[in-house]
Formats: sequence, C-alpha cells, structure tokens
Amino acid sequence: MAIRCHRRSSACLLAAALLAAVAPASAQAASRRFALFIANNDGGAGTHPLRYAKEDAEKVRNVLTRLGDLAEQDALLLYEQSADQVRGALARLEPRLRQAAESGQRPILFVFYSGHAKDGALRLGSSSLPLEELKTRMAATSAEVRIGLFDSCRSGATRTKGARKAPAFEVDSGLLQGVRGLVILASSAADEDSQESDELSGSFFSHHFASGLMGGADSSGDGKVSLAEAYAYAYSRTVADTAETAAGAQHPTFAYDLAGNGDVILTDFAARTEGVLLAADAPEGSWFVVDSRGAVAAEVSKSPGIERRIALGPGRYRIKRRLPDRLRVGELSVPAGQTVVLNDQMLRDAPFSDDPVKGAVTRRFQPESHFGMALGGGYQRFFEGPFPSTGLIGLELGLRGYLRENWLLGFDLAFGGGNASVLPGGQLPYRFSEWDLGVSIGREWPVGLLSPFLGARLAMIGLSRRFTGDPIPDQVYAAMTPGLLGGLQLRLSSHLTATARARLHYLFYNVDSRQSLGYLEGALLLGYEL
Amino acid sequence: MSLNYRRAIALVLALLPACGTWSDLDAQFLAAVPTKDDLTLSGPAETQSSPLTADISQRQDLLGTSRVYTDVVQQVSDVNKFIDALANGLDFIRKLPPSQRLADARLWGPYDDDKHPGLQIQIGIQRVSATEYHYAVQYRRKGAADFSTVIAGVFYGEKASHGMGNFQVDGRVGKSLGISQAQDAEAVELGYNMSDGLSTVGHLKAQYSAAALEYAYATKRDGSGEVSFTVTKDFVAGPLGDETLRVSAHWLDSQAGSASAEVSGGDLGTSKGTQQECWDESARQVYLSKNFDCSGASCTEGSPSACRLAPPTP
Repeated sequence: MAIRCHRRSSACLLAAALLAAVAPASAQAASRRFALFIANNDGGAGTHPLRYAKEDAEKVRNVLTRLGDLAEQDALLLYEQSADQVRGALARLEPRLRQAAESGQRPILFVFYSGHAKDGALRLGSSSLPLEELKTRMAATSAEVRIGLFDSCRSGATRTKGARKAPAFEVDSGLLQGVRGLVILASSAADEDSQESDELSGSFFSHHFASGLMGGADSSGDGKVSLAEAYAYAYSRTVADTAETAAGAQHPTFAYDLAGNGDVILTDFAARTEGVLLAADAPEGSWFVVDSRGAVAAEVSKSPGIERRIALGPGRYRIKRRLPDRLRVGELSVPAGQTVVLNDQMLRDAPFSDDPVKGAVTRRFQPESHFGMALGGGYQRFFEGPFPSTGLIGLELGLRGYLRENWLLGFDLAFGGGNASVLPGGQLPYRFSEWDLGVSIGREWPVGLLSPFLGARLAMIGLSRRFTGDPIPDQVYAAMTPGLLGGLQLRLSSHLTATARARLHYLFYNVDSRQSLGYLEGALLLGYEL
Repeated sequence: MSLNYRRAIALVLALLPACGTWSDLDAQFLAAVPTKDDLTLSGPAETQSSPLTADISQRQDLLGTSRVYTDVVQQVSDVNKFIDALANGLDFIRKLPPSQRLADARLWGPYDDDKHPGLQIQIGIQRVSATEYHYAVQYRRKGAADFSTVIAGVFYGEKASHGMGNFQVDGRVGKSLGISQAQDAEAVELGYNMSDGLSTVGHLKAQYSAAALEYAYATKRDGSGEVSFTVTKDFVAGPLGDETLRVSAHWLDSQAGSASAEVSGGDLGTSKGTQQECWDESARQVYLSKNFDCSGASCTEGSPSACRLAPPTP
C-alpha cells in the first residue's frame, strides 16, 4: 500500500488515520531496531546556520531508546558529520541488520535527519548526500522496514513553478518507485521553510514528533504510538503552531509503502508505569512539560474527557498551560517507575512574564533578508605616521541577505577624539576629533550561534585638530581609506547580536611626505536585527 | 617591483583622494618662529609726558624737567613697535599653509607683497637639527630671479615660547628695495631668551646712520621687569661729537619702579649729568635727585625712603 500525502490536504490526515485503523501493527516481539540520527547545523554555502539540529536528533533518539525498543548501541548519532561519514555509518550498520534478519528478527532501520536540504540532497556542511542515493542505500540494506524522517528546509512535496529556489527534494514524485517497505517523512513541503522555535529549543516538527511518541499521539489510547499516529499528530500540531508565524504554515509530507508490513509501532509505553497521566477531567488544550533546562520536553494536546499519558522519564518538571489572559503553571516530580496524575488543581495562575520556557520567539531556518542596527565602541591605532590613536563610538546599519544569501552590506558612522601632542612630553599639545563614514560588503559563515565574517570596506576618514597651547593654525586631513574587516558575531537571541570586529585599513598620507599608512580598528558592537 | 606594478599602485592611489594640512612638521616649524606675543616687552604704563630722549636740541631744560619714567615707557613702546613690525612680517605663515614642504624645510611664497607693490616675498624655514631652526624673510622685485634676505633668524629650542633666538634685519637691503624708509635703522639685531618659560631676556641693537641704540631688557610673566638702553647721538650741537645717554630702569608688577639716567661725553666734556627718580603705582614721581640744572630749584625732591625699588646703577 502506498499513500502519498500532498501538502495542505486534509485527506492526508484522513489517510494516515485510516492506515492506523486498518493496518494492524506488526508483531513487535520479533523486531530489532537500528537507527541513524544525523544532525548538522551547517548546510554549507548558501544556507543559514541552524541552532537546534543536534537537539532535535537527541530528542527523538532519547524517546526511541527509552520507549521505542531501540537499544543504545543500535542508535548512532552523527553530529556535524560529512556525507561520506554518513555513508560509512550506514555501511557499518548493514552487517548488524543482516545478522538480525538471519537470526529471525525483523530488522527495522530508522534514519532521522535534522539539517539542511537543497536541490534534492541533504546538505552536510560542505558536502551533500542526494536523497535518491540515500534512499537507494537504505533500500539496499537488509532491513525489512526502512523509515526515513527528514526534518529539513523545503523538504517536501512538489513545488510550484516560479523563480524561487529549487526544492530540497520531492517526497511524492516517484521517490518510492520500486522500493517496498520504505517510509519517507518530511517536515515540510517543497517550497516551505521548516521552522525552529527558541521556545521549543528545536524544530516544530521534531518537537511534535517526539511529543507524540511520548504519548501525545496515542489517539487509540492503547499505550502505543504507531508511525501513522506519530505522523498525524506531528502534522496537525506543526501546521497549527506554524500557521501564525511570519514564515507561514509548515505542512509535513510523507510517502508510505509498507508492502504489507502494516503500521509500525514506534513507541510502546503500555507496560511502563513511569510518567505523567493527564486525568480525563483535566482541561482541554495544550499542556507543556518543561524540563530542568527550560526546554519543552513534551507537549500534549488534551481532548476533553480523554485521559492522556505522557511517558516522561524520571525527573522534575514544570507544567505550563497558556490561557488567553494568563498562564497556569506548576511543578511535579516523576519518580522512577511511578506515574504522577496531573490535573489543573496542581497549577496556579501566573503572568506571561513568568513563562518557564526560555525565550518565546520563533525563528525560521532560513530567514529572509533583513536589516539591523548596531551601536558600539572601539579603538583605532595607526601603525605609524602623524595621526594619534583614539577611541571611537559608532552606529552601523547592516543589511543581510539583500545581495546574496549570507552576504552583508553595511553602512557605518563613527566619531572619536581626544588630546595628544606632537612632541613627547606634551610639547605642542592639541585636541583632535575624527569621523569615519564607511560602506562595507562581506560574507558570513554562520555556524550555530556564531557567525564569523570577512569583508572589504571603503571609508572616508576625516581628522581635525586644534593646538591648545601654541599659535599654530588648525589642521585637517581627509582621505578615502580602503580596508579589510573580519570578526565574529554571536547571536544572543532572535533579535540581539554581539559582535567583535577588527578592521585593517590603508590610508594614503601626502602632506609631510607621500606615505602609505595602515591602521587597525577593534570594536565591540551590540546589534538589534529586525 | 615592475614598472607596470608601480603604475597600477599609482593609479589606485590616484583614485583615493586625500588632502589636508595635518602635519607634525609644519607645527614644529611654526612653533620655532616667535610670535609678537612671545617677544613683546611688558613695561610700565604709558603717560602723556614727553620722553627724555626727545631731540635734545629742542630741550634746553635737559634733564631739568625730565621724566625718566616717561622715557622708559616710550623706549619700551618703541621696542615693541619694532618687534611688531618684525613679527607681523612673519605672521602670515600662520595664516597660509606652506607652498613647499621639503624634508627639513618649509617655504611660504613667493607671494605678491600687498604692502609693497612690485615686490614679492617669501619666507623659508630650515630645520638644522631637532632644536635648531634657521629662517629668512626674503624679497625680490617682480621678474627678478634672486631674492634678497631682509630678515634672518635663528632659533634654538623646541618651541619659540620656551627657547632662544635672534633676528638680524638688514636695513640697507630693505631700503634698496623700498621696504624701509631712509630714517630707519640700517641694521638691527634682536636677541631673546625665554628658555625658562617665566621671563624674556633680550637685547636689541639698532644702528642708524647718525645714531646707535642699544637696549637690554628682562621682563617677567608677572609684569615686573627691567630695561636699560643707551643712545649715542649728537644731542648737543658742538665740535666734540656725539653724547651718550644711558638709562636703567626697573619696576615691580605693581608698576612702581625707579630709574637712573646719565648723560656724558661729546660736547659735555668731562662733566656728567646724573639723575635718579622713583615713581609709585600711579606713575607719580615720589623721589628725584639730580646733579645739574639746580639753580633756583632743589636738586632733590622727596625722600629715597619713598622708593619701592632703589634706583639702579646707570
């Protein structure tokens, strides 16, 4: 049976639900699961760095190893690895898959990817792995069922025509042709950006997928979450959460051909007594479970009159419900092997400012071009020549992505000044002032929260001085100065940045003599991006 | 470096406009040239009395009714006028950037001299060492090839207000070019020393065709000072030549002071006229003593105890 879901199609949900209903879960006792979790924040040239790829992979991996009958040694995590390293890891799994099959177990291969995808390929730093090749490699394994989950930008269905970039890959365009027992899930449609959330400390899709695996997706209430249930839950929650974001709704897609294998049970917590039980009379709506790091460990959409289990591991958690005018918050501990019943009486009212979740702003994988302002101070020092060193304060306007992705265009204005003397010992003292007006162009290479950058700058520098103790007329100098710049920007939040920057400039001096001078500027800036 | 490479660099530099007057060397050159304020003497306040050195032939009451104080004021004023004339000639270098900058020299001009049509002026300063500068004010007639030096100066130190130096003015060249008048001095030398930063010590010698003046002065920043001058001139018509007038004066910052004067030589023969005088803060004479022209009048007025400063030795 092959089902292809198209974006924005309610039939997709229906089909998944039907699949879950009519396809009995395969016997799990004989299965042996292997998984490859691939995470890479860096998508190489032309991409903007992600922040939570690793967190997404670890989140899904932790749930599957805890609840999904996936042994730790069979769950490989590849972080910031190249395409060749992924190929190698897959090859290393094959003997174990074959051994499981030969021993009568039912091998299931789960490949999870969180990162960039572009032009039909996964982007792993500077390398790329075509999805078609990965599918072929997965199909060539001894696994009976192969599940690929790709949480990446523009990773889904057929894109519309136009001038936009090519889709990362198309899930429903014959991807499964000739391959049986293969499921491909993608976090977004082909012409959509997948979105990360600072509030969730991860991508919407992975977050909801993992939450669903912990019980949120158990629509049948049997204590098990099947692949179809997990997808249906992740789909509905992702679409709902992203509908109001600036990037627009994100629609997960999938292609599904289990070749008579029936649905796959991903997690089974029926026999586990550990976790949180949302009582049937608990208010409906979204319940957030926040871990000790301030990250959302699980999110459950509670329906009225239905009991819902969340298979959390032991630990202390904070609970949050968001009401139109306030929050309802509380705390609880989940002891090992025990279930804690959670109801609204355990919560108290709190203002929105007391939100236990760190951050609250969503952010896109690939932000569009934007601009920002930065204010900072620095120090300028000439290597030689008649000009004094000085402190500078400046204001800068930066345009990101207007020229090309990851290219910067900046305009800056700075002022400085102070007291100095022509001769040592304060002889011929003067007061001077300086202004700089510059335009720069550069490129950044974002890696996580950090963005190193290099560029070139052309500035007009003007200096003037007034002698304070001698009858010497005022002096001025102005020149165009070309230079190079480089630095490192740290993203403090979705809007705030801190930047350390150095500039090396050339200045042609021609009064006393013709001299080629150089000066160095160092600065620290605090920026706000819109 | 290949020629093409150099041309490429030159082209790039040409495309980078740079201009201005910011020059440490300019500042050092300018600081070496004293200003009018650096050199101006601060003497006692002027009064309306006629000076002692008025043409003696017109003053039959020589020293009898003299006002030494007034004469000192007049002499200081004359010196300052002379300094003004010198300094003003140099001052325009502070208004215009140098026309030429060489490694150890700066040149202003040549410019047409507005005050003397038909002449061109240039001023050059040369740095001989970090603390020695030579400069010259030169003139030429328009169309002439060579300049003639009218004022030459030397300065020692890092800045004029804390250094020492001297000028020489060649009045004969000035007169030949029409810059100086016939009655002006033929040669002037002005020396100064301000190296302690608290006082100005200097001398001025002026040689005229029929007279010679010599001044020595020391003024402090607080307003006190002293000056002595000698005028050699044929004050009294007669067969025995020039007489010599020597005056020494000193004063406090309050302007109260005293002076001694002596006239000798020439047609006065072996006789010598002396006079001592003291004045108070308002320039009012408080003591007078002289040895001549006392007939019908006392040779002493007031008491020496009224003097704030004892009269100096002439």
